[in-house]
Amino acid sequence: MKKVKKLFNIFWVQLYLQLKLQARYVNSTVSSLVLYAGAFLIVVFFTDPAQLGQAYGTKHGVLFTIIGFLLWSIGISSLGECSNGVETDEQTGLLESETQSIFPLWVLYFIQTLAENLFVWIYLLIIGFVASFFSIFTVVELLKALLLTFVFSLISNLGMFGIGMIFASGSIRFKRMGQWATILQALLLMLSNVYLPVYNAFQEVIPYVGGIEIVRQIFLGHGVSLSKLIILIVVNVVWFLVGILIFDYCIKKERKDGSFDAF
Amino acid sequence: MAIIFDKVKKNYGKKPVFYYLNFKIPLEPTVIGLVGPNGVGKSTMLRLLAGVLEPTEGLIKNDQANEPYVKWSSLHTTFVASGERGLMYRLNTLENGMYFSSLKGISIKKTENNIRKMARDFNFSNELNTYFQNLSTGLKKKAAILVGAAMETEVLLLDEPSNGLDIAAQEDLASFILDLKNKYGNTIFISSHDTQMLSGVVDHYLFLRDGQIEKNVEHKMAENDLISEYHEIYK
Repeated sequence: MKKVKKLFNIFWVQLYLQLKLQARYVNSTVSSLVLYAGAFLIVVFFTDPAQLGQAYGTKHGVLFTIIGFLLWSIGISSLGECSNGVETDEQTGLLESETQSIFPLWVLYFIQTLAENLFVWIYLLIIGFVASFFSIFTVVELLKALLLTFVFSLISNLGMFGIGMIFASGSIRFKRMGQWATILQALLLMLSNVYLPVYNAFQEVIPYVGGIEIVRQIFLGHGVSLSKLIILIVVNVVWFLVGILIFDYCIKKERKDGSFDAF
Repeated sequence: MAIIFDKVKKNYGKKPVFYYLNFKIPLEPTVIGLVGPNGVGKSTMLRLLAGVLEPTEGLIKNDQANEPYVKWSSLHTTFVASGERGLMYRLNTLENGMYFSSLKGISIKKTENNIRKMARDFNFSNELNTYFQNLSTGLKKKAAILVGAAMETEVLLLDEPSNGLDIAAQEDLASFILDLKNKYGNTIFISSHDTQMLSGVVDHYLFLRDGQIEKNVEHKMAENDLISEYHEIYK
């Protein structure tokens, strides 16, 4: 088998086993859905979508808030899946077996994150579909928002994965990272443009901020700004590479001087 | 073909485990027993052989392979950890086999066939569809060994494989290990304190002490001889 075929094979196996695990851990699956729905309700009811709409000069304040929420949700999923995944795998002894893969560990976690993200998209689709019945946007508009956020999340998730890899490196080095990843996820919600327009250039270093802005501009009929797209790509590629380099360094160091089973 | 340890030093942080280990193990159908008291480095040796860990100094290599040992070992060795760790809890043995064979780039169908075939020899066929979490301690151990063996890598590394097994399962394990050697031509490394199992299957002993190989015995030993040798070395 060629390497690419083997990678696809890992992806399909991950998807198949994740599907089985979602069904077997039904309690956890339902709680994830409730968690995303809860975050969605908080964003919609405790922020001011009308003000957001006003800032962009549109009546689609709620839809624009949802666009922000979708990119944030899928982004924190990428971040959380790899940072928590590495720590859990280390605790259960899976990490040692996974280090014996013919592929680097970061590749395995990247594929795992892609497979798990598909399930998050299903949660978001359900939530968005239900929300469309209680709001001023139509199902068609929702599907358009979902499709666009899906496309741009392919870029922004690279950066979020990179940040997740930095947290995972902390798990390798310090064994337990505590709730820092969760704290960051909440901070990102407040510091980014989920329910506000971009107000500070420094916000652009958050991987999904540029994606939210681009999708909203597309909805306004302004098309895709090339400079914004380049910034989005550069920010995400940098986070992705930095995350992988730090993670690879920590794995190499742990292989030489440490132990994966001392936890 | 052989695995060579060339001036291998291994530390955990500042704590040394091995000092300048030099030895050569031919890769042939054989069972090699790693023997020594707790904390002497048996599991560390297995992890080094598996490429899970790397030497702090020195080199491990396969004398016929040009690639780095970590890369070679990822395709040609399988490490089965001690205890009830290493497999996914809500997956059954076949599904775990599917997952780990995909990571190694091995055909899933072939692994599944191997697991089914080997499970018959290992008296495990009835448990193949049971979730790992629902297996008893001994059966979990069997499942992990089965998944590892089904990868059909040249080298199989078993850490305390008989821990938690009842007498019948220990007998199954001994005959399973001999089958792997004779039918599949595996080189099998075993770390264990179980003198009965070791004397039944091992062809070659490495006694570890003070970060070195204290004694290299290249023949089978009866259980009483093994115990005497052990007391002699570690008195």
